[in-house]
Amino acid sequence: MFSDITDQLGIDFVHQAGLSDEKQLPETMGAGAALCDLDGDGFLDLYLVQSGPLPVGGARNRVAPNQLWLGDGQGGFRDVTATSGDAAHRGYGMGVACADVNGDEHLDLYVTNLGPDVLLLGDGTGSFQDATESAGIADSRWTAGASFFDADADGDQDLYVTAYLDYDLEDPAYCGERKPGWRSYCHPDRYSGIQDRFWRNLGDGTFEDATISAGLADSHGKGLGVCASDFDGDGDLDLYVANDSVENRLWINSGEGTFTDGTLLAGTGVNGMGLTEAGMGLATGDLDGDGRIDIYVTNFDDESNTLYHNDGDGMFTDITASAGLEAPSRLPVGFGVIAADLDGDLDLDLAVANGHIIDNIQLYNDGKSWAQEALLFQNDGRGHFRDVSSESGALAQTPRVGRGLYAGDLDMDGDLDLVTTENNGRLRVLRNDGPGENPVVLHGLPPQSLVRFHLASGQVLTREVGPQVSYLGATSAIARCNSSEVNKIEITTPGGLTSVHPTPVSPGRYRAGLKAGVLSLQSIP
Amino acid sequence: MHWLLFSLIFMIQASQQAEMLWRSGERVKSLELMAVELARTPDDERLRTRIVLGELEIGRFQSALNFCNGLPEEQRGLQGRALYFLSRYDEALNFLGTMEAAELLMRAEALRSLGRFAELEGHLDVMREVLGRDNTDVRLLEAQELLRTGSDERAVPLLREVLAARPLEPQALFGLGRALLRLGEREEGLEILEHHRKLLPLLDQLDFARRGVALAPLGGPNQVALADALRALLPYDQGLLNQSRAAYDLGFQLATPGEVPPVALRCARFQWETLGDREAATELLSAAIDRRDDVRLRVRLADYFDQLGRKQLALDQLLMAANARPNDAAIKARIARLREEK
Repeated sequence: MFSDITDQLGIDFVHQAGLSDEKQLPETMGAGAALCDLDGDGFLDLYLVQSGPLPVGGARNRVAPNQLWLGDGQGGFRDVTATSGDAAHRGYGMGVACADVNGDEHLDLYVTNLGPDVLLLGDGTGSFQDATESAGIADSRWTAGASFFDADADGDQDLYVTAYLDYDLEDPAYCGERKPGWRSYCHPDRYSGIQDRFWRNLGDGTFEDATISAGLADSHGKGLGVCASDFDGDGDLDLYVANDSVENRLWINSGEGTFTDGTLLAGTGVNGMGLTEAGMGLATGDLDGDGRIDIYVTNFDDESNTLYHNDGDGMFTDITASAGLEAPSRLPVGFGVIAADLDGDLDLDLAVANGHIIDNIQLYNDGKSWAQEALLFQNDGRGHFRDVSSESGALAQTPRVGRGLYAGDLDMDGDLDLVTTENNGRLRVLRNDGPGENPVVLHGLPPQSLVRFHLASGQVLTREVGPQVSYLGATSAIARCNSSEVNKIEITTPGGLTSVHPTPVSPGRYRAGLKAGVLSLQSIP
Repeated sequence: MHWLLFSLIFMIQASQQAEMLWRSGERVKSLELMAVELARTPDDERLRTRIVLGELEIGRFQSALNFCNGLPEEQRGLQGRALYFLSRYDEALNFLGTMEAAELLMRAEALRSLGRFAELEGHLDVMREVLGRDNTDVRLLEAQELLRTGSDERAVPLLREVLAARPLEPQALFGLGRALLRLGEREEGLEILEHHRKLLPLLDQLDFARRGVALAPLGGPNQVALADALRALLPYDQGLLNQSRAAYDLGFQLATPGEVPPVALRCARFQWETLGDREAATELLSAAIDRRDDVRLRVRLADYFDQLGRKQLALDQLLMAANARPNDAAIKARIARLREEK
């Protein structure tokens, strides 16, 4: 059960899409957010991407920058945009990724835009400096999702950025019926996809475009979501890319940061019916407790969101319907999604933010609407889900043009709260009103590590450290387990090294240290 | 008596007007007129059925549902269809019939989406009885159930059967490729999946074009977009040739004067390149020029005449094109070349 506490918190961020009579497709995207500890005080902060009027004709009259709100760990936030340096960026924003790219132990940000992307280096106080040019990154196209990950296991964070469409703002096509009020946003099928980019971190603060040399030349999908995880269980990080209305891609890592297309073998490019879907957001996790990382993709209406079960042999199976996830997601357009234990019962539940892209969709299909209710699915522990949206309180109470959805413990009461972004609407913070949990929380692990919590009951919970990308965003890289009876913890870092903490761990927050196969835990007060 | 007669005439006129509006593409207005008429005669089951069918056709499923109360018993399946398209599958199952193929398929899809696989199995028996054991849709559903339950070996021959009837069926191609991979037939499995991958964008294009036609069936460019999408699939299924040809013909007929040039160019290319009917291509372009004089049409016609060896006719067309665009370098070059050749 969630309560909307946005007003209480005083967070007044309203996304501006720059809606125009020309129905320019970028207006439909909404924008993402990062829910990470950006000032290093141990509490989650919010970096909110803004869009604004479109840069038509080369000019832009917008004033609203991206915003940074620092959290106090009690559920309170203060707006520090004015002192955040270049983080107050004023591009037409899309998404954000978050990681320490230069090894100074402060989180940095990469912001994707309709226009030049920016790399923002953090100094650990909540202030950021634009290092795009000095880092050798240059991308002025329409980019969308981004993920930092250590592709070649050399200890630094490489970057994959999805590029969306070859779109001309100066010449927007007319779509829909030629009647007043009926002009509609065009389908992405009208436009060509453009190549994603893979930026290899050279370890000295600079990046090189390694798209081709890494084997990723054939990445001309209409990319929105991207996440990194060890999907084939060989110890390195693979990539899954959600493309809009064309085949999704699974890129299998050789272990050295080069990739081959594993989509056909895995069966994750299309749904179980062999049809392409309009991939938007992504969540990964071990949803059925078998120790392998499954993939959940949000899609367009008249499609369902799709759950790909990891069969463990490099192959996946679409089990959406048998998992109870198909029918409820057929009507809405899914965007942000999280896989997290929202009710503290040791399995991963799913929450999805929905909202159509076409603001006058009801003219074309009177059963549909621009604003739509979110969905909440409760896991029964075996990977079968029940739609509990009607019991979720503020999460699914009000139809919204939902886009991003991110989870984190904002008030440090042990359970996971939610943050959701809305296209051309207000950011919402939803407090989890559950009884509160007493989890084991591990900080300081390398992103995308895999953690196995061995419980006294014999059950083993496999958890990804993250970050989870949801839709165009990022959450904190931490691992959580809602059990008070953790007997042993195993951690496998990208590159395949496993460290073990062999003795019981009490609930609490810990900073993890990895050395010579041993995991040490230092309690965080 | 006079009032009754007047009323009857009015009803007939309103009904005729509504049908005319429907045929002319003013489908929303037509339905609005019918709705007004239904408000006067709420027991008119035929009119109610017509409205529900119309609303379903233009994608106003909620509106269709709103008119369902009062449908004759034998048309209750339409309520099921409206609910199905609104993704209200549980409710749809209460109304979808078991005699019509479309509703049988919707019922199967609703059961599958809801994960009610035991009932789906029973429903498959009904489908076998009504549609026949050899029906391709029945075979495909049977195969999908086998795939879902891990009976890949039994699914494979069924899927091959489906593909013999429908070579472009993406579900069968994907299912077969996956099943073969799981059975260890890696080479053939990947080959089929590669083929499926090549087809997918073309099938998506076809789906997109069909949606455009559904939205505005009287739009010439929409029909030609459908024809183009069908044409792109011809290397994989020659059986689509007649559909493609019919859509080009209809598109050309429906094109407004402003739409004629781009539409005619695509129709001519189909005649010339696909059908190899070169005379028909030149005749089509000439007819198009009669409807809308356009430089692009004349240049294309000139190129075709040139390739047919009718150099003078080609030159005539280019000279007329040059009148319209005297500074066009490409036209000038063509003229120069033709004059030289002559």
